[in-house]
Amino acid sequence: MHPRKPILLFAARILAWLVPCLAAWYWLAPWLDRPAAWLAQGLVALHGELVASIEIDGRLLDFVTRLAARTASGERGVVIVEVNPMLSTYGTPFLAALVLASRGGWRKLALGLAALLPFQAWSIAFDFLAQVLRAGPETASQAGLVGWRAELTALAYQLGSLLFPTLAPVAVWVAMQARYVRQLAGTAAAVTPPAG
Amino acid sequence: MLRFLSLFLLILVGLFTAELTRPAQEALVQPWTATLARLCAAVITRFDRHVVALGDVLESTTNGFAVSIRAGCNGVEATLILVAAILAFPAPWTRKAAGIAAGVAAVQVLNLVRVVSLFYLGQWNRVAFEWAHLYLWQTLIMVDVLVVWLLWLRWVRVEPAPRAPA
Repeated sequence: MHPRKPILLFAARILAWLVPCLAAWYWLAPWLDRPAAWLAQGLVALHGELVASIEIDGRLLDFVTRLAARTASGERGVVIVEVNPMLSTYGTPFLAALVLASRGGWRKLALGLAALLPFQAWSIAFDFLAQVLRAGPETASQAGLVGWRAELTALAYQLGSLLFPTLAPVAVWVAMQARYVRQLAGTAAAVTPPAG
Repeated sequence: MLRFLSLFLLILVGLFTAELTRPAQEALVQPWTATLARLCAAVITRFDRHVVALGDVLESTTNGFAVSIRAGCNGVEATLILVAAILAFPAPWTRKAAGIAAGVAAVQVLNLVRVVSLFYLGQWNRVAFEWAHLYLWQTLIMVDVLVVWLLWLRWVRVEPAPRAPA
């Protein structure tokens, strides 16, 4: 067998698993995303009592805040921020495809999905905070997002939106399937994935 | 493994933070994104003359549909992840340099395919465009990064670097 063949076969298995995993995730997302949303609310609460509640609106999350806002006509109300959690959780089907393609088994899949939750919660929480920041200086200052806090929030948002959704599944998979990765990288010709 | 993961995260966060600074954006990221748009236009005009690149925007001259290549779609973050993964792994510097050169090319070629495919997908169906743009292609690019890294690891570990005679 060509030394690269096991890696290319593994890539083909990932792609094959990705199709049903993406479909299942998209269908189940309104339920699958809830634990990450709850965790995100807890994460935001560390910053202060900004959020009164999170309402689930189909596939979207509405963060009902305690921040006051005034409309162009002068009416007062509270700021409601809409977050699409799927932008933070599409790593779920990716991790599932990686684990299933490397025959990691259902236990590792469940553990891996649990390990992803903090990263997904981070992405959702900082997506919310970044929107508060972009809502304008008055809203941002009510939320305490000024100076270095604003800079740190912007950086955390970039990490959460550009790196975590795709990197976290791979990092979790490498950590869980280190032996399989070593086999692929070193003695790939003799790869026999552990049975699930 | 722990040493690799720690070093990888340290390098990645350093590169990522540096990439977000204004000088890096102005000197590297924005010019690269504009070059990517021009490259995409050059590829497309081989079979479709009705496309122009304006800065980071790729636009159809027939129906006005345009895509703007932004952060996350220019392949920079995926490239940084691959570079950090190669740099963090103990290997001869010549192998690291070769891996980075080939790996960056592999990521950017696939990214070019992504932008071109999204350009046409968007003209065909907006729902399919959004889905491919937000979820599918992001994952496929990361699969590319992982496969390139695994192939590089195998090359580094199985084929020892040539040694000078004693």
